[in-house]
Amino acid sequence: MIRLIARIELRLAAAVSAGLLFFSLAAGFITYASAFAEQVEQASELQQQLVRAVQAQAEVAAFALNEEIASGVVEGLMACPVVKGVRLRGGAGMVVEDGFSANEGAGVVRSFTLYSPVDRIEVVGTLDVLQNDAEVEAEARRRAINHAFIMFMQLAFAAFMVFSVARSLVTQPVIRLAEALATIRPGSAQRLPLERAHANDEFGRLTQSTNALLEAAARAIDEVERQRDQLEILATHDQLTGLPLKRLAYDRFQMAASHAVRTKKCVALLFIDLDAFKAINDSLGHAAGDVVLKEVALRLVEALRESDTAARVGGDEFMVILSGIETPDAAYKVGEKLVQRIAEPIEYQGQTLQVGVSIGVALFPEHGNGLDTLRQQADAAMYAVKRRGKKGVGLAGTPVA
Amino acid sequence: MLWLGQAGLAAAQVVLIVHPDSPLRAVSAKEASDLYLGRLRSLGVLENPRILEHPTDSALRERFFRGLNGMTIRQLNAYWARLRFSGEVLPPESLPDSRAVLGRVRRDRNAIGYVDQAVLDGTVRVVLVVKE
Repeated sequence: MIRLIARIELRLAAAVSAGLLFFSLAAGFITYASAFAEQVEQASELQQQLVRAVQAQAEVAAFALNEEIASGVVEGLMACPVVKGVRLRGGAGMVVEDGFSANEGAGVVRSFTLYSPVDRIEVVGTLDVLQNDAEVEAEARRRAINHAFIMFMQLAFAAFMVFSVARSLVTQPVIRLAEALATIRPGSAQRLPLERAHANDEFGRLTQSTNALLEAAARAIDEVERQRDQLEILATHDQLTGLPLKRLAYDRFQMAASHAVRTKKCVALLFIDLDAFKAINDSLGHAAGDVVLKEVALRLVEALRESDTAARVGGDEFMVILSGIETPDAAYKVGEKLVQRIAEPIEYQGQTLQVGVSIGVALFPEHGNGLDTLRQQADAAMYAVKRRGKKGVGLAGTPVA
Repeated sequence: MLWLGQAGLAAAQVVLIVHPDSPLRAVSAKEASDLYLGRLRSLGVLENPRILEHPTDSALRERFFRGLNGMTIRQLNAYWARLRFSGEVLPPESLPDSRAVLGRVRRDRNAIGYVDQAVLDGTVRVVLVVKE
């Protein structure tokens, strides 16, 4: 994700660079061409100005056929770097020149007519100036490259500014948002920080709508977890009594057993079977049976400590796990207490019902390590009680009294 | 000669004169102009004539050149300033006035000069009457 945004920045830089390249090429070409033309034009103007400055002298030279003055004129013009050759022609075949015929074809020739200083009408000669095209073009190229370079630098500066502004205005906030978002765990209370500089712009809106989305997601996750918890409770608890079912009781036993190993104590497993429950069901109906079962469950929970577990493991069978038990006798006493409590009368539609229980007790680790073994032991103890006469407690491994 | 004399009576004009024995009979305004501007070194039969001038600020000089080629004194001075710059050409010899020029031409067969028509006394030959 971060890499993707870095690529946007790269692409921004690439786009700006490409734009810069395109415009600087176009602008550079135009600038070069116009600067070049301007320089060539300036060279031409320079020569015309030079000739104008010496024209009167040249006219006198041509008029008076004075080679001395003509040479002065020619030398003066030759001092200019853009002039390659000069030829001054007067009447009577007078020709004074320097570098003109030797360099014929080296450049543009400009001819200026020389008039008589007397009437300024009679033509007395011509002044031909051979331009140093190579020099003019080299100079023009130098100037044109200079101009184009300055143009390029201006464009480059502008492009850099655009890139920097776009970077700080768009790319960097996006990267910060993405980084902040990457650290947020779904469903947590973490939210994106709202940057003050972007509070009222698109990034502010993006931040706020993302936070709203996070909020909604967190709520949805809470709801799903709540429902899952509920399902879990439904799956692991008996609907009628609300007591844990066998599987959960197994888990509780495992926890109690490992705790007992660490603390060098015992876990007592009490297997409880209602006496004559079938008779109640048959004579008074299932509703009465359900009331009895609920009352038994309630009395079990009330009689036990918070750390103990009472579970419904069959139609009229319950199991109690007592943790932190130090002696078999302590477990036995709890069993006796439960027998007494459950034996107390139960009101049902104006009738008084009474139910007895037989309890078998087995201890971990004394009577076995696994719950199945313990349950068998407790079961056997419980049946021994049943055979003996019901409504009582039997300890595993103890002969029937 | 006669019509020249008559013209002279009408108004005192500027005339170009030579020695009576000079081979020169007539000189055109153009030839005279070229001669006085140092453009011509000879006038056909007359080789290297001794050209006589008047002072730079002379009124007659102004009339002479105005009639000859239309040049003003300022233009003339500028022209000679440029030409003298070369050191190769010297402007014509300058004499104080028409009588001095007349006297010199009378004595020098090689001389040529211009004078006010009024000073003429028949001792020199007029080769050009400058039209004004």
